[in-house]
Amino acid sequence: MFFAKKFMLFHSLDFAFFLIIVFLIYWSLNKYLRIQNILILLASYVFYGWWSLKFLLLILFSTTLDYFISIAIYKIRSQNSTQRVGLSKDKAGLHLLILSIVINLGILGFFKYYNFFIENFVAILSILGIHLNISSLNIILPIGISFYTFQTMSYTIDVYRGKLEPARDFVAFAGFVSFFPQLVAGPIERANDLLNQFYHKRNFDEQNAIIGLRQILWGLFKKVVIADNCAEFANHIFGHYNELNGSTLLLGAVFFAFQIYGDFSGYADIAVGTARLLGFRLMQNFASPYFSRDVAEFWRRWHISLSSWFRDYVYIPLGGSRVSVNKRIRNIFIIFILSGLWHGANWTFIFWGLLNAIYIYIYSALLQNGHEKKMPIVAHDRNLPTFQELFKIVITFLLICLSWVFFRSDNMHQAIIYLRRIFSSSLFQAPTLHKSLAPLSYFFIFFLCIEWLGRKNSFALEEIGLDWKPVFRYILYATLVFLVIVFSEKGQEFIYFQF
Amino acid sequence: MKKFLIKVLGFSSVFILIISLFIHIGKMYYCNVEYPMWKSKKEFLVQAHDSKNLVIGDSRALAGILPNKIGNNFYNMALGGATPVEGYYTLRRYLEANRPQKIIISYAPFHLRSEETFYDRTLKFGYLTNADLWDFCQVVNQVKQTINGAKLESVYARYHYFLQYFLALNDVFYAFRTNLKKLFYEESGYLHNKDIYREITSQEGQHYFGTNPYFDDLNDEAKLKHFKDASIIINIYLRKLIELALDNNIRVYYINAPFNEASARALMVDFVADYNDYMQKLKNLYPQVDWHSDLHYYSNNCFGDRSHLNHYGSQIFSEYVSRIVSK
Repeated sequence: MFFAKKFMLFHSLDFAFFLIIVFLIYWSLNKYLRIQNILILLASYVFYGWWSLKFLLLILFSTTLDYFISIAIYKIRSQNSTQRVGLSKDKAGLHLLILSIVINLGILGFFKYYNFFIENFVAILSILGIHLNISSLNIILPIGISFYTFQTMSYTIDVYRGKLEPARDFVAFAGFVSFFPQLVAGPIERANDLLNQFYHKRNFDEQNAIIGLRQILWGLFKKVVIADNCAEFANHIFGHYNELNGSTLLLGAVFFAFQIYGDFSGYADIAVGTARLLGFRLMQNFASPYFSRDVAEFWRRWHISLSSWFRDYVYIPLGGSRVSVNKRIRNIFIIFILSGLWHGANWTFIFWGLLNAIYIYIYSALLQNGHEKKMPIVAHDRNLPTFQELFKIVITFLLICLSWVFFRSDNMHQAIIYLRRIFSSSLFQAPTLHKSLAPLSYFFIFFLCIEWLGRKNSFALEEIGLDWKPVFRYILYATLVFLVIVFSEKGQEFIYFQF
Repeated sequence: MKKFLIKVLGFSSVFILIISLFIHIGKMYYCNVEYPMWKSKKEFLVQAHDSKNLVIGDSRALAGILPNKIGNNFYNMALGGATPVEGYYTLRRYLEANRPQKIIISYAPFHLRSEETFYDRTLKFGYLTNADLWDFCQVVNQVKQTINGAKLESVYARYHYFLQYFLALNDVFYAFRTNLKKLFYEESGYLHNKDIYREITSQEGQHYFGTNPYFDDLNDEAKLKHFKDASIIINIYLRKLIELALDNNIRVYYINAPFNEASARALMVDFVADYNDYMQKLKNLYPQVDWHSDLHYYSNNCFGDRSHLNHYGSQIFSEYVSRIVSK
């Protein structure tokens, strides 16, 4: 048996034991930075290899490729600047960069998009009367490939741009590419932030470790209690969309909105918390996105690491917003369509991206008040939002929910029928759910209250309860742990693993 | 680092302690409806000093034999899913403070084949005492048999050695959370279990399972080709049970509960022949026992589910049992 088929999920006992062992060995080696880095690399490979040794080789290949190409690019750049040789050397660097990007995107494209493009290519040709007999392949998508590919690409691009010196320590670089807390579902880190941390001694900070545990606990609660319970309703409603009325379908989209938020931001919290336990800082991937007052703000708060990646490596190189209106619109559409495509090889994801681009376009072209001064988060210096803010939050949330219909649907036909049924007279009928909402609603109210109270922090639970008496704080922790255990049923994977 | 580890370990220990306590004392909240039945029988064993006669058997005897109907001062000590293993320890413990004159033994052929609920009920509900379980392990180890694929030494260790308790905790948590969900999503498990407990104590240990007026689905036996692979352990314990009763001058009746008509008609010829062979050997060994072990059936309208008699069927079967034990 060469390949273990089961993935080490963050909410499994396997991962709990794995993390405890890594944590204890890691800090017992506190005096030896290099050995700590080797341990992280080994732990990361064990973590990934637990699922597939075959695809671990793919990570190793990608790591080695970018490690050496970046060094080569840097050497060419250095010679260029000292010898002033001119354009030919620059071109050589560019060629190497293109080679790296082509190989990385080629691997990603093969595993993720091969079937999609082949099927569409054959379909287009058949419309033109040319019939090809090319069958699709049974390809397994390596978990996390979109995340680590973007991470290594950003590194090589940064080296080419001269923003970063290439890593000279292969262990540190391989650790950066495969760092297990964020390997399979982000946040997509930049070398400037994460790789640098591999070079510096990390001291155990009790306060930081406690914050890490709190963040892991909140992430687990969001995933296991909120997301997985919402999934039961969302799956049922999306599975029976042809039989249910408009209000139930709208509710299904809302359930999915909270499922994907709890699932993905829960994963991010566990990832950041785990990294904190090991003395690393990862970037914040979510910042209370559902409290956004417009879609543009939503996209500044949702999957921040991916949005900022597209901003820095696609949007700005295309001219960003400092170009003509038409080009700016073009750039927005490119970004969102690429973002949709990044999520998966399906027209539903592309339309999801397109719909969000349309939202942004309408908002920026028609509704945005250039003079409006935005506070960083809604009700920044107040406890409650104004009526106007609440109205904007609800409208934004509903627009996002409608876009999630494309994201969640299996195909365009389902998405269109689903939306058509929402916007029918049955929207005004009472929703019909297959089981009682009562228990979920209690947790939901608790969850929303905590999220609202902690909206200014990097994660909702960051400061809540810190000024309480310890006994009450520990009761809160115990309640959360208890609920996580009670609801952590086996087999519920994270949605973003498929991307 | 030390301070952090102490905090985390301290919190975890208190948390696990509270959960473990709840696991032990909160079974009425999170266990299924079988628990109040087993609990009531376990308590009866400890409290009873009036030497009632006993019905010892499985769920078919539990549903089908109405103590009030058969007279003769009987109490229904049958347990859902039980085999002669539990039956033997039931009688052994009962004899510590009581002297019954008669016992009825009634096990479905299915429960002479395998220990389907040994882990889920006997162990989890704590029906056997440590002494019982220790004795059981000795017997099992002598014949080198496994129970549901697990070695008995490890079963004993898992559930009774403190250090290895934590290894079993995951199993307990799983049962805990799946049952606790029921508390949230369906009617309260505690209140339901309490009702079952009251009902079973007021009915001298009897409890109906299926309450349909008619049932013609096939029972487990109707799906079996052979009876040959009867469990060695169960065979040993059935004999131990009979011998224990005979040694204590107790009149022993072995009475089979009926099948529904649909199942009886579907029975495989080989299965019936194997079963009859097995029973004949027992009859030869223990001629003192009053044997009524032939496979027989009642019409489908006597059954509340595929295996258990309904109210109507129990009345008829209990009259039949009454005639036997009153002779």
